[in-house]
Amino acid sequence: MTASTVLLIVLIIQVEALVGLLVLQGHGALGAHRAHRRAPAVDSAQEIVLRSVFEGRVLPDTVPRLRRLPPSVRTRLLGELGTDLTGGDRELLAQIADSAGVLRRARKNLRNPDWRVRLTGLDVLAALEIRHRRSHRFLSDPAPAVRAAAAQWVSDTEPHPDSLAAVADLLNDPHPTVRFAARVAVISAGQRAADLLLDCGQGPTCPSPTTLLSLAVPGPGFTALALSVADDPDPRARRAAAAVLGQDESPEAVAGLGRMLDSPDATVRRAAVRALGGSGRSTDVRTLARLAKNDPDGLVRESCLRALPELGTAGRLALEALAAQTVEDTAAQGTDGSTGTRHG
Amino acid sequence: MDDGLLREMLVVVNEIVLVYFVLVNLAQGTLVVCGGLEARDGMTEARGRRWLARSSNLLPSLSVLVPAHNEGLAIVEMVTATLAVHYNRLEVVVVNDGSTDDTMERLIREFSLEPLLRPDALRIPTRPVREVYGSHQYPGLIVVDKENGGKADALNAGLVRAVGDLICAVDADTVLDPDALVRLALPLAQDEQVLAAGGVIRVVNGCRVRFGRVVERLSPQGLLARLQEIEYARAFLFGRLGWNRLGDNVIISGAFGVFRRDAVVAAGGYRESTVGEDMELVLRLRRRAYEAEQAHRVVFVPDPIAWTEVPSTLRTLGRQRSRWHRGLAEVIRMHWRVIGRPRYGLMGLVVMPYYLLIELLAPVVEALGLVFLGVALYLQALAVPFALLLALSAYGFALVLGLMALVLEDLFDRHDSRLRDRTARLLSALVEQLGYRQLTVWWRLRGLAQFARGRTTWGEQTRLGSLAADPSRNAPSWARTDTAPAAPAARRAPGANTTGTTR
Repeated sequence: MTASTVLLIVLIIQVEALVGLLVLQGHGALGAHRAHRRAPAVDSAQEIVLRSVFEGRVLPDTVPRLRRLPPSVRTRLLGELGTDLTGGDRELLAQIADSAGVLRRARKNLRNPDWRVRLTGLDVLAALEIRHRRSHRFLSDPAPAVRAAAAQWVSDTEPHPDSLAAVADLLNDPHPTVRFAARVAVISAGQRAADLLLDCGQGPTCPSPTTLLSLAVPGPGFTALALSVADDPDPRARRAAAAVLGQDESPEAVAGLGRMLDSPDATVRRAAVRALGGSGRSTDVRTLARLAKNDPDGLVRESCLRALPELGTAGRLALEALAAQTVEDTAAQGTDGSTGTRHG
Repeated sequence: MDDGLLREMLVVVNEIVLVYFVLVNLAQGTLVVCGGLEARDGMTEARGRRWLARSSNLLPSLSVLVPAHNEGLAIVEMVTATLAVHYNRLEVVVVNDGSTDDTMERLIREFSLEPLLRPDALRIPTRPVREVYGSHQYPGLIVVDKENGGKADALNAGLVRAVGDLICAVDADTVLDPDALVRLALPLAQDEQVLAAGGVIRVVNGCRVRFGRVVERLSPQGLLARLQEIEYARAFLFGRLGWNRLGDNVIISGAFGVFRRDAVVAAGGYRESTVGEDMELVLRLRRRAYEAEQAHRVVFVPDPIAWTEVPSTLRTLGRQRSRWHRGLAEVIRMHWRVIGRPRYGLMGLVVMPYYLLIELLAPVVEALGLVFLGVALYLQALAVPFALLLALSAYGFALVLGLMALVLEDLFDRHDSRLRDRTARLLSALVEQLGYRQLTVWWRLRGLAQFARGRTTWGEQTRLGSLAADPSRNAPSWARTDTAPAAPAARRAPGANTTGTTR
């Protein structure tokens, strides 16, 4: 094959691609133009929907105005409004969505083989907190984005133990987004959900102690769990435990944090320092001041310096003393003072 | 020289250029396809993340670092708008890097700053710090006043005084979308292996901005800004998205990127010896991770958007492009040992060779190709139809890339754009190859020459520094418009400038 033939083939492919892209651009431009022309109708529909919500009844022209919009536009509009509303307002919006055919379309989308379409349907149902008899099925959807959205949907619409246990299963999901969404869902379901998970025990389907502690929920059960992993060889478990112990003022929790300050792992020491700082107990000032001077790890020393002002007047005084000493040391070493801070 | 030998040499050079051209086509074509696939999935996923709004307590604390050198015209509006971005545990650390204008005075006055005790224990050397300030009215604001030392030095000064688990470096002329930081921090919150994440940067010139937010996306008035708009879309929406799909990213823009602070501190902070400090930092973080055999990722997230002003004159644009290319050359020199070594995975075997052969050397090959093509045609060593085919293919491919970028941008556009603006963008993509591309080749060659001469300075910063008789002409467009700070009333400083009109 000669060079000219290669170039000719490249050129033909390019021309085809260009034609395709120009068509797409034209399509996009047309869409933008339509959206521009449609904007007043969208604003008007949004206004009447919000007025209906404000007045607590569906105003006569609401559904016809919504129906004048293309289905995708009205779906998105109601989904976005649903996110900002709560309680009775959201219920009224769901009623409007039902009358405008948005819910029917969303339910139909849930059956679509394309995950992107399923997600669109699930998204609006979740925003309006609409129950669905097979919502659990989406917790095991092959698409991570669908599982993640389903976690919040299920925990909002079915806050009973079985559902929450199903959502909690996702805390062990292989996909990080799904695990994170499950954490958000469990935490937003409240203390009861967390306690339910705590009662789960050590079964194979139960979340691990590290996962449970990562929810950072306070309470005696969680403190006990945190203390049980305070000497765990996995630093992640100990870091998570420190965050929980920091929220508890019991002597056991304080003692547990104290042990963590001696951990050979700097990330664990840092987590413990932060937890002590967050506790606001002035009794910890001396310990933190000592670490701020002597800890071999810069980030631990820094965490102590940041935590001290949180511990009241004693902490602030200790910080000033440390800062003054730093300036003196710097001057004694004859450096340019680049790492120190002059303060007023 | 023997005429026959010269002709043969020309033919060989042209064949090399042709092979290079096909390689570039293949590499960038692959990135385009991967970027397109990633864009399609990414956009749907982003729309389905309503649960993100409830995740604010689970997101790590974040410090936005704003290095500022002579940014007095717009710094107050920028800081106020950044403080109002949706993020639960947010801190804004402004580093006044030895400004010679009134940047520091304006900050002190507008935010009622007072000296603050914030010693640093990290021992990352920076130029001397004069004072650290805080504000009672704005508890999330820290201002570090230091002697001039360059952008990397300013970032290091901010880094050691920040308290966030994450840091986000933004330029002082950057406007963030309200949920940009939440979306950008998400990958780091949900996966400990993610070291850094970058978002999309778009051109703010011409856009309508209210309360420090872009409320309407309008195309810039000048052709130069419109051409840069296409370049930005191309770089972000399939360059980086494409690498995302392939599983490797080495560039996080210095104007909008989030890093794990402890990883940056452990790596020694930003390096001052290069003007490509953003890419250098990412490479260093990744090298360390590879050498420690630690699983890690650097990701590009397509939906968080930051807006930045681009140069509106050829002179400033030329300087910027030369600097960028010099930065790329410096970074590749610093990390050349990575290239071709399997120990560094895809980064060593594919990404870095790509940056060396296709990004760094492209202007050299393109310039050589143009010169030799001309000479070969003159000496009739090359058939005219072949030369035409080559030129057409090169133009056609660049056009495909430009249009593809616009199509991808459509997918992500959350701001309505007018038909007139879209037409203007399309026409700009069509004419981009006629003159502008050759200019960028020249600027990049100049950057390589500066690198060869060992130049290390940033050069004059004319975006805001060179004040003309009418200062508002030099202010970023977002600061010139009816920008009223969107700070909550309770936190607004008494007497704060809420008109947003800069002087």
